[in-house]
Amino acid sequence: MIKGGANSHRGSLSQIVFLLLTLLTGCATQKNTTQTPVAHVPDEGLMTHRAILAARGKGEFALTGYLAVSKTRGMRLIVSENFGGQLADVLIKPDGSVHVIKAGPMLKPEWIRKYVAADLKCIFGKPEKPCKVTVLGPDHFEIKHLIYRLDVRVVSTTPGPQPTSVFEVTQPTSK
Amino acid sequence: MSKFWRTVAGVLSICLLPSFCLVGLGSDQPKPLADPTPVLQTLQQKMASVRSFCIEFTQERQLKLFSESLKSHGYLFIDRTNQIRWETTEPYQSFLVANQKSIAQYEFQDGKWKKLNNGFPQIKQVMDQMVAMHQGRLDALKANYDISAATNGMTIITLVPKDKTVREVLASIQLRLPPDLSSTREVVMNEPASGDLTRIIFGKESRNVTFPPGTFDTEKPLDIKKVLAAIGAGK
Repeated sequence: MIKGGANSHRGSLSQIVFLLLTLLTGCATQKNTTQTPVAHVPDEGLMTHRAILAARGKGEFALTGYLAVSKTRGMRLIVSENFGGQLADVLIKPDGSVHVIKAGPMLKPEWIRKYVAADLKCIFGKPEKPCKVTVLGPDHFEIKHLIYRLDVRVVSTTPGPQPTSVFEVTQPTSK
Repeated sequence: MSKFWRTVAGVLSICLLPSFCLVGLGSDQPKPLADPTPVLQTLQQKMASVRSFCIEFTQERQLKLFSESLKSHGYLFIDRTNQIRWETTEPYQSFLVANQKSIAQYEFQDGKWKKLNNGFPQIKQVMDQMVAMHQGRLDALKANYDISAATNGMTIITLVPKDKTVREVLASIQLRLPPDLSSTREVVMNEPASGDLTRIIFGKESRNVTFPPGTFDTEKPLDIKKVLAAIGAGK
């Protein structure tokens, strides 16, 4: 899904140059996140996100994310496509451990672990290492990688505790 | 306790008896039909005269994990020439539009519409199937689905994907119609094993409307408010 084609080396090079330029010149809206979430996240609640995943050479995909959050129990994200088909189900425990509960046909478990979980931590959690998130608005964020760009908007937040089972590892496909 | 509340309590206590409520509310077990052909033929005949649809929908994503279903709302436009537009208006704005030549998806971001580049390759097939379902042309789906029918208070047409790979992500699609097969009230997409499902509930419907130019344009689509105003379906 996110492999480059024949022209990807050229594209990657230009993107690296762009990335270096961005790092050198700085960007007023970019945040280097290490600790607190970039997004406004309730202590306990359920958030709905709308995202556009632009994968190099593969096009743009509209996604809906359902994120249950708990300050003490972790984060659980379910990613769906337009008509509800599930693409990813991932749990991140408060210690930062990632549990891929379900991987749909489009996303491999290792991609969910490496990219989905990492981006989730960058915007809504505590990333282990610095990551660049561009804040496009109060509830609008963008993360650029060499092979894809993720544009995420928070469309609703419902505060309140979620069921215990949400934060339990029930059917892990990988740890 | 007043007489009114005693009556309410009485009705509620009777309703706690599952068998009574299931029968009383018309939710008894569906009775499978030995041959779904007559139902499918009747449905196709009923829909054959319908030139176009504008239908309000509520999409409910029911995940066993969460106590409440996750809802979105919007409109579905279909016309006889197999053009379709599926537009979500709440809690976010997004639409898929397909005509005979092309398909496009738009997302509303930062005050303007953004056309997505390519996207899911199977979307065109899903849109075509959606048109066929609403036009009662279920014969067109027989190549991809095993079709059966059952009745209780409603007529339930079940489509099970023939392809094993598809069945790994979609166990079945159920169309729920009133006994007279006059309209599709619900479409339920069941996921395998988990019990999770997506329910699309169709509400207010206008038929044989004339959509204004641009409704199904994939390059310069007409804004939904203008479409709704033109067909007299605006709120």
